[in-house]
Formats: sequence, structure tokens, C-alpha cells
Amino acid sequence: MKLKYVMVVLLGLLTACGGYKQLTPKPEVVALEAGYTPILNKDKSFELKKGKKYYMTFPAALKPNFYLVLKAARLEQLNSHLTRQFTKGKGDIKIAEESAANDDLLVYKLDQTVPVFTWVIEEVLAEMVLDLDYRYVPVWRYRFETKNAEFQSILARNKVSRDNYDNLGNGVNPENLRFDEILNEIRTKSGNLKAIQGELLEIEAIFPPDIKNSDDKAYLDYTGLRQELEEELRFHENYSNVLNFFKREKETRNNNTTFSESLSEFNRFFADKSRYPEHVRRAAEKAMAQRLSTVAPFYENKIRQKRDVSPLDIPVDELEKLFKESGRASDPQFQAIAKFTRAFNRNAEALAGTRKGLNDIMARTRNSSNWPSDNFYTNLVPEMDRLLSSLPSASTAQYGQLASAPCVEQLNREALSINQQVNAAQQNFDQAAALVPQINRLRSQNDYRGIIQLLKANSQIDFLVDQYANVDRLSLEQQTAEIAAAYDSKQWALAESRLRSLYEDRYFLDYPAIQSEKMQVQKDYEDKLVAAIETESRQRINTFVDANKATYSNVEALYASEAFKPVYTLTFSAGGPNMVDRYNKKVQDYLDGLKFDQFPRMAIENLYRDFTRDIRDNGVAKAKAVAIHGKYYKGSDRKIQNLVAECDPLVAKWITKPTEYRKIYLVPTNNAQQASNEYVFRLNIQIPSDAQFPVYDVNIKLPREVASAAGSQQWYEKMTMNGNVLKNEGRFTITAPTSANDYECQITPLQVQKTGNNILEVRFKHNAFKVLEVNVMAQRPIIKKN
Amino acid sequence: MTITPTQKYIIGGLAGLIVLLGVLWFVLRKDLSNQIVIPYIAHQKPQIDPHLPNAVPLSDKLDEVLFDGLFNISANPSGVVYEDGLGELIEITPTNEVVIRLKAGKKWHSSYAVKVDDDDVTISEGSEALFSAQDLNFTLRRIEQLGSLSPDYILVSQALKTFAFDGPDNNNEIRFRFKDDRIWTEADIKEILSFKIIPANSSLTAQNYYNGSGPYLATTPQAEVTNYFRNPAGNATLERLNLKPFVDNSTFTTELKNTNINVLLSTPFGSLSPILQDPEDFFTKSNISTTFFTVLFNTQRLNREQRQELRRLIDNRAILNRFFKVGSEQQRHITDYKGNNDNYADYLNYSVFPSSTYYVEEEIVVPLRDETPANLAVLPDSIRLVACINYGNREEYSELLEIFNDPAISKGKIRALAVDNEEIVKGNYDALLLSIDGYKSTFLFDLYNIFLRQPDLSRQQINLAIETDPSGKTRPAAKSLQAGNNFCRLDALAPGADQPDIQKFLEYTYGFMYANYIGDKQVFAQLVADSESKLALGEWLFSLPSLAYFSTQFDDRSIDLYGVASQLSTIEKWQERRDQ
Repeated sequence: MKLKYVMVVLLGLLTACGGYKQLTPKPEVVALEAGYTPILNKDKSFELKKGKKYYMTFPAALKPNFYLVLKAARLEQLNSHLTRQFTKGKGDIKIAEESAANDDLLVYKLDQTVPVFTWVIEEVLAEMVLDLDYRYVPVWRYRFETKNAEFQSILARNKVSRDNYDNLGNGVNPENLRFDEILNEIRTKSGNLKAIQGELLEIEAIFPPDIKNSDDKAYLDYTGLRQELEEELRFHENYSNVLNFFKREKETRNNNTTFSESLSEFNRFFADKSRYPEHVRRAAEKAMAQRLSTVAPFYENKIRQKRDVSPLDIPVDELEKLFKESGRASDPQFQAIAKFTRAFNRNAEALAGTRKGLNDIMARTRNSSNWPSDNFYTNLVPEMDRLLSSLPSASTAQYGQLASAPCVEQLNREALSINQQVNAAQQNFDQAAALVPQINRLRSQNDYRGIIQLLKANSQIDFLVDQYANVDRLSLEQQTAEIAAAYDSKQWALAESRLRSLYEDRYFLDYPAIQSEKMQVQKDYEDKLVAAIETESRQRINTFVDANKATYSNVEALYASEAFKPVYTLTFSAGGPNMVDRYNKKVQDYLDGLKFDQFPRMAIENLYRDFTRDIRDNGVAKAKAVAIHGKYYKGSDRKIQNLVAECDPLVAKWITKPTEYRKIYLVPTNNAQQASNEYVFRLNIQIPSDAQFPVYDVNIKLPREVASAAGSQQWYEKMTMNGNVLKNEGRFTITAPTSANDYECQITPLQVQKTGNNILEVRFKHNAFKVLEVNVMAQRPIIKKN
Repeated sequence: MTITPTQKYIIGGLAGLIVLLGVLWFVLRKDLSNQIVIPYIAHQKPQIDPHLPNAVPLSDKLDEVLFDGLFNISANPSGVVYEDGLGELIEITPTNEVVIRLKAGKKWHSSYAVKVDDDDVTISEGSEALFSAQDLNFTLRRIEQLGSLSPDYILVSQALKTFAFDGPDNNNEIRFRFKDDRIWTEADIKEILSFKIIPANSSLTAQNYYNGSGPYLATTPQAEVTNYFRNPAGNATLERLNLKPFVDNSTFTTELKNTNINVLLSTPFGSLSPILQDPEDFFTKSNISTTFFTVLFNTQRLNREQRQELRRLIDNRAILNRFFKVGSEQQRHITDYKGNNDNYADYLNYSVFPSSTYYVEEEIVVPLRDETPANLAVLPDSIRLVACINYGNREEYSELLEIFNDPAISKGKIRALAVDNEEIVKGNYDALLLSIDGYKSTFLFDLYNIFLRQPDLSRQQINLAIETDPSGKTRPAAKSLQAGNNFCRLDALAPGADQPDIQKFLEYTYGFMYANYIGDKQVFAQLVADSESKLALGEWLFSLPSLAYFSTQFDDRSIDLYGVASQLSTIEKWQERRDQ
């Protein structure tokens, strides 16, 4: 209850604050069908002030298809609309107003989507007293009421005069009618009437169910109007048919060709003659009887002029029917024409059927997509017999009086010719029936060359050659399949051999026709073979590389692998020896690329990474493997070359920056472990210097195991600089590595050439067969005061 | 026994005489306590320039007395040590930036007022002048300008990217950028930064520099600086250092014996002195040779062939043996810092680079020993060999002139004369007997002092002229060698058969002196030696042993001399014996 009060207060506030004033009629508006009811505020009309806004609610109609009609004077002073949802100026959705420009009315179609509709006066242009009536009215009624008078008027204006029609043949001669004028009038008026007929049907569609059979005046007015309208339209149609009949008869007079073409039209008129009054029917029969008396000579002449064997175009049946409908008995001349026409057309059609049958059989033999079975031609014998029996008889009696017409003679001549063709075909079929089993046997053996030989020997059976026209292709396909089989089974030599055979094959029924296709097949398979060999070779080498990139034993043997050769070396190409060389070279180039670049590159990177991860884990073997790979590596990647150099004791390691210690891996130069293993390392001192005659201190940090005995025995065998032996005398000092100096040996001052190589080589022996690490640094010595 | 009155008088008189003599001895005795007294040739006052070498040996030694570097090279019984001077090493960054904190409050000697009244010296605070980065900057600028004339230029230029530094910052720290081609150790850096620093208000081209910050400050007028007093802010132990003038070196040993001096930095002939043998009174300290004798040939008077034959004629071994009277009762005995005795042959020289130098020791230069007899026919009838004995080494010169005049030595071809300096200036000689004093056996052997020195023993002038070649490199101008501006009378401008070789020789000499890379030094040393040998510019005779005598007034353990270091580099550590 409290909530209800709150809602009321809120509603009041909303009402007050919207700037719209509600007009509340007393008595309230009632949504019942009735006439116009004034809207009053008690007993007075509402007064509207200029510039103010108002609204008024109307309940929804109780039934569908109702209009709310508001009638008032000076509506032009109001700017108003009806809405389902009043938004107080925030954008009402307006219901269309359907008053058809009536200044006094506002017509809105109501529905039952909302309980209340709001009529909103957005603007009052001038102060006024609102004399307003309202009405709830069914749509059909409102529309019919507002249009009935108009409908009546239209109907009256579009009625056609019935005078000529009612007096046709009885004072009105059809000859004198202005057919086109009247027909145009009827057409126009029928159009107008059909328009209002449509509107009436629209209104009828929204009749309430309970209106039918009621005595509602509007409803009764409606049904009366509609019946009158339909009767007038029926008359229009009948009158038009009659006018068209006589108009056509008049137009075809003296022209039997167009008359013949109109026979079905005339017959349709007579078929529906009950629609017309007696005097009209009689006038029509009379006119048609006069016309039929002229047709027989016309058609006889046509027969006698005919030279071909096509069926005669004489509507014998239509004519006979028209004779009957018009009440005129047919004359003997027409009956002879009818007899001849029927006989000739029957024979002509039989001849055409036989010809077509023969052509169909021949076409079947020629165009069959499948080669004939063994009994294909044997099975044709009954068909050929049937063809012979269907040929027309050469007897002339069947043609009656007109048997001497030239077209009869022509028909008999052509029948004879067809007879001969059928017999000749039958003889070829007999021969073919003997050949086909042989051909089919050869085919089962894929011996297309044998088939071609057989066909060439019987080339007079032309349809047979046509029938086996695809034998060249099949031969080609057979060879293609054989090549493909060898190719698929990777028998490269066999594939190449068959490719060569195909290339050399010229034995075809029509070689020029198949030549380009054969060449294309040849080319395609040659390309495929080349590509396959390349792909196979690539796959094989790639597999090999993947499998061996981490191999560090017996590395030299890897490079002798067959994988570095093509899986097959081609010897034939349609393009000639140069093309063969090119194909082989391409593959070999790729393999060489693997052999001399990618494989050693990958192996070197892989092995070096593995090597440096733990030099104690087969370090010697890995380093030597890197060196061997490096021997084969022909690439120009400095990084790879450097990795190889790192593992090759005989390659000098570049010292390019002063003061930085550079790690060097020392790998024994002997291949197998000995009691005393040989080690060597070379440095190429290439430190940029402004000095004209640079010298350096070279510090070599040695592994303890190498240097620990240096106190009792010289740790190195030999040191040379550019081949000159360095001795610990004169200017040179070769500091002994000791535990006190962390086993660092210093060679100083080491004179180098400003340009060119400066190879410092150190050789020593060590009892362990392993990879050793030394760190080398060079720096400029300085001049000291003391 | 009865004593007569006469006898009593006699005894009393004698006793009085004894007392009188005792009083006189006490009053007149030579008291050198708390001072170091070193002799010098009176007319060869030392010139003090811490950045240039000088022919007077004492000059360079006094650099250590007067001046400090950022770091000072000193010694202890184990060898070289580097001590903080005007700087303190803070950090060596990985990018070879060296951070040095400049010592605050270090005073220049000019900060003190020195009053000398006879023997009394009073030092009081004067107007304070403190060492600053500007002084260091000035010093670096001067060294850079001196170029190859200064050994410090070679040392610094080999290490620093520029003769400059960043700073100082709020901590008075400066940053040097060292070159990146070696790992710089603390010892390396201190060695490089051991050049002596002079105040920024000094002249760039003064004859002498007296205002330093070293352990001793000069007390006498600048024109005659011979007396020094302990720097109040320093750490020298002994109060005074006095240089005592004598006419020549012939009496030096006697003066030491007579306690007129207490330090003799080099003996005549470099030999042990018979009169200083008492270890109760004297002790010796040896170090590497700093003097050698040579005969330089006058190229204006002798052609190359003659010079070559004259070189063959002069047998330095025979002369050396005569010089030291080897095998005679008067043999002059020698000893060296390595402990060798009478090893005379070790002092024979066969190249412009003496045998004691790094270049020969390390066989960078391997002098040819030409044993071919001289072709006397090529030589003039009489070769005028002269020497001026008035500029040090009088004893040695006299002895050598006598030896050269011996026909057994000179085959009668040489007439040796003692002449005035003027004769040398004029070039009135075929050959010049010359002592080269103060040479360094280190990398920094000085060729300019031999070949580019003005031929005037009364002054020190190096006639090096520099020009720039089209590529922007410096090179010696040919005018550096002209007949009148060097002892050998070489003339690179004068056309002639020798000119190309003389020009090459000049180029090599400059290359050697200018080089700040060891390799370049080595190669140019070879080229100089070869070129000189080809030109036959002199006969290089021998070096003198370097032997210093000290009075036992001093504690010998406080005096460390070693190898190639300056003898006075540790002077501030010298102490008197406790019982003194």
C-alpha cells in the first residue's frame, strides 16, 4: 500500500515537472464503437493557451482493427500526435495519422499493445477552446463509409453500353463494329473496376467474423456493391471475346495461312459458346461457315507444291472440329486432303524415325565412351531389323486422289536409300562383331600397339576407327602408367628407360594428333623424374646430415658417403645431352653445397658447441672432427672458419687486441694416444699499433699439468717467431711458468712485423692425450725510466 | 826520581800545549754532522732542470733533491719502490682511467723565507704557495713542448692518450686517460707519473729551476745554488746538503779523507781509492756506469776512410789496460754493483751504445768488432787529438792523453794535446777525446748529448731543429747538424759523399730519441749503431765504473743505490750512524 502511495507521488512529480499539462475529460473517454462523442471538462470544453503543452490519454480499443478518430475545428492551430509511450518531449514514437488530409479529423489506428494511448499537444499556436469529439470505429467500417460513395460513382462511370452486344446479328452487323475502339473502352473500364474490386476485397479481409450474414447496413451496402461490380466485369469479358472473334475472322479473311493459324482460337470460342446469348452464337457460326468453304483448294494446292518429305503442316483435326462447330458438313475435297495428309505424315514420320534410328546407332558406335563389349555389334542385329521393318511402304493407294503429289515420290525414294544404308551398316557391324573380341583380348593384355595394328588393317570400317579413337591416348596412358609405376617405386633407371621408349614411340593411329600430348607427358614425367631424383637426393643427404652432424668418429669416411651423390645419375633427356648434364649438375651442385658448406658448417657448429661445453668429453675426437670438417668446408663464413681454426692446432689464432686474454684449445697433433703426445699452437699477432716496429709482451697462461714441471725441465720443445727460433737469451726473456706466477709464461719483448703475419709457434709434449686450454694475451711493453 | 824545577816547567808547558792543542782541535775540527757534503768542479755549477738531461752529472742528481713527482721512485734494500709524492693513486678503472688524488697542503719551497747568516740558516713561514692541478698542467705542457729532448716526454707520451687530465673534482681527484694497449699496473702508472713537477708560475725556458717541493730547499742565491736545507714540510733526516767547490776531481779522495766532504759520488777512474780503504772511516756503494770516454772524429778534417782506419788504429782494450795500469803494482782496482772485481773488459765499448746499456746488454745492438789492422797509409801523418781537461775528469783526461801520446798505442800517428775549450769550439782537432757524463744505460740513453750538443763544454745546448713533413709527422731538420754545432762537425746541409748517410744518421738519431715504443727504440738503436759504424764517427773506448764513497758518519744501511737509479733518489732517507 505504501508502495502505491509512493508510486502515485512519483507519478505526480513526474507529471508536474514535465512541462505538459494533462487534460482529463469528464466524463471519461470510453473505448466502445459509437458515433462521435464530445470531450468535455465536466460540461465545458477545454481551453488551450498559446504556447502551452497538453496531453490527453485514450484507452486502447477493445478489439483489433479500430480507429480512434478525433474531430475538432481549428486543428491547424495544434501541433499534436498520438503515441503509445509518452516521453514528455524526450522523443515520442508517433503513430501515423491516416485522416487523408481531412482538416477536421485526426485518425489513428489503435492496437492492443498498450492499455493507454496519449494524445500529445506539443504546441498551441493560438489560444483556443478545444471543441473535440472522439470516436472508436472499426477500420473496415470507417474506410467503407468514407469510400462507398466514391465506389458507387466509379462503378456507374465504368459501365459499358450493351446495345451492340444485345443486338448483334439482329440489326447490328459485326462487320460494322469498331472493334479496337470498343475493346479499348472495355479494357480501360475493366481496369478501373478491378481497382475498386481490389479495395473492396481489402476491406472484406478485415471484416469481423460476426459481420457476415448480419443485417448491418454498411455490410449490406458492401455486398450489393460488390455483386453489381462483378456482374459488370463478367459482361466486359464476354463482350471482349465476341469482339475478338469477329475481329480475327475479319482480319484472316482472304488469307488461309493466317486463318489456319487462328483455328485453335476459333475452336476455343465455340468450346465456350454457352456464355453467349443465342443471337451472338448464330452470328458466329454463320461467319465461320462462310470461311470454311474456301480452305480445301488452298490446302490441295499446298500438297501439290510440296517437294520434301517433312510432315505436312495442315491442321486437319482443327479444321474438322471447326466444320462441326460451325454446323457445316465437310466437302469431299477436304476429306481427300485430310486422308492424304494423315497418310503422308505417318510415312514421313516413319522414314524420319528409321533415319534417326540408323543415325543413333551409328552415333552410338562412333561416340561410345567405352569400347564395345564382345557382343556389342551382335546385339545391334535386332535393332537393324527393326529399322528395316519400320520403313514406310511404297504403296500409293494409301494417299488417295493426291497420290501423284511429288512429295510422295520423294518419300519413297528416301525410304529406299535408308534401306540401303541400313543394310551396308549391318555388313560393317558383322565384321566389327568379329574384330571387337580380338581387340578386347589385346586390351586385356594392355597391348595397345596390337590394337592399333588391327585397326589400321581394317581402316575401311571407319566407325571402328572412330570408336577406338582413344586407343592412341590409351597407349600413351599405358606407357605413362608404366613410367609412373617405375617412378612411384623409385626405380629411376627403369623410369628413365620407359621415358626414353615413350620419347621414341611414333606408332599411333593418329600420331600428329597425339604428338603434342605425348610430348607433354614426356616433359611432365621428365620433369617429375628430375625433381624426384633431386628431392630424393636432397632427402637422403638431409637425413644423412641430420644423422651425422654430431658424429665425431671416422669423420673422413662420412665425406665418402653415397649420400653425397645423386640417387640416380640421369642419362637421357628429351632436351638432349646438355640438358642431362644440366639436370645432373643441379643435383650435384646441391649435394656439393651440402658437402662443402652446409654439412661441415652444421657439424662444425654442433661439434664445437658440444666440444666447448665439456672439453673432457671426447674433446680430442670432437676437435679433430671439427678440423676434418673444416678441411671440407669451402664456405666463406668467417665464423665457421674461426671455429675450425680454434680446433686446428696448425691454424694460427689471431691476437688482435692488446691486454685481452684469449682462450686457445690445444689438441694433440698425433692421432692416437702415446706416452708422449705432441702439442702445438700458433698465434698470429695482429695488433694495430702506431709503432713503426712493434714489440709485445706475450703472456701464455698454461695448464698446471703442463707447467708444473717447468722448474726441472723446459716445458716447451721449441718456440719460433716467423720460423726463427726464440731462445731465452739476448733480448728475449721467456719467463718460466711457476705456481708463483700462476703458471704464466711471458715472452718479451717479441718483435713483430707491422704488416704481414707474425706467427708465434710453440711446440711441447705432454703425457696426457686430451684437450688443453691455454690463455694468451699480448700487450705493449713500456719504456721505463730505470 | 826527583823532578827539577826546570823539568816541572817543561812538563807544565807540555801539558799546557796539549790542552791548547786540544782546544784548538775542538774549535777548528771539521764538523760535518747533520749534513751531506758533496764536491763539485767549481766552474761547472750544476744546472737544474728536472725535465732535461745535463752533461754535468750532478745536475740530474739534484733533481731528486729539489723536486717531487706525483709519485717518487725510491728504493729499499730489496729494490725499487714507488712512494706518494704530490699524488695518491685512488683507482685504475677497467677503461684505463687512472684516478689520482692530489695531495692537499703541499707547499712549494717559495712558501718559506730562508735567512742565512754564516752557517746559521733560519727558515720561517713566508707567503704560502700550495701545489695545485694548475702546476701539474703546466708541467705536462712543458714536457710536451720539450718533446724528444726530455726523457719525461717519452715516458708520458707512451702512456697517456693526451698530455692532459680531467679535474680536479671536489675530492681534489684528477683523471688521466691511459692508452688501452696494455694492462696498467700500479707500478707502471707510478713510473709514468714520476716526472718532477714545477710550479705553474715558472718560466717555460728557464736555465735553472730551484722552486720545488722536494726534501731539500735551496738556501743560497739562485745564481750559485750549492747549499740546501731540509724542507720543513719534508721528511729528510739530515739537515743540510752542501755542494763544495774544487778546482778539479784530482783531490776529491783527499778531501774525503780529510773530512772536507763526506760523500764522493764518483771516484777518479771509477776505481777504488787506496787512501780510502779503511772501512772504519768509509764505505762504498756501486752502481751502473754513467760516464764513458770516446774519441769523436772531426768529419770536416778526416774523410770516411781515414775515420775508419783511425778507428782501427785505436785499440781500446790496450788503452783501458794502460788506463787502469792493469798488471802493474799501481793497478787501479775496480768493483761493480754486481759484485764483480777488476772486470775491466766489461767496460770496453764498441758502439755508441756503451756495453752497460740495455741495447748492448740485450743484444739489440751487436757491435762489430773490427780486428783488421789499420791501414796507416790512409791516415794523415799526424792526427791532432785534443781534450779539454777543465770540465771534469781532469785525472782521467790527463792519463788518456799520455796514453795516446805513447807511440806503442798510437803507432806514432797521434799527437794528443790538452787544449782550451775554445779550440774545441773552433773545431781545431782531428779527433776529440771526450767524456760523456751522466749517460743512462736504460731505454732513455741520450744520443743528443753526443751528436747534437753544441761543441762548447762551458754550456749545455742541444741543437735539435724540428720540421713537419707533408704527412704531418715531425722530423729533424737538416740544420740540426751543421759543421759548427756538433763535436763530430757533421754537416747534413753540405753536399758531399757523406751527406745522404749523415742525413739518414740524423733521421735515425731523432727516430731513436723520439720513439716511445720499445720496438721502435730497438730498431732505431740498431739503425743508429749501424749508421754510425758506417760513418765511423768515433771510437767508443770504454766506460768508467761508478763507485761512490761515503763517510762512515752515515749509516750505510740507510743509503740504497741500485743499478741504474739516480744516486740521490733516496737522499731523504739517509741517516747518520747512531754513534755519531
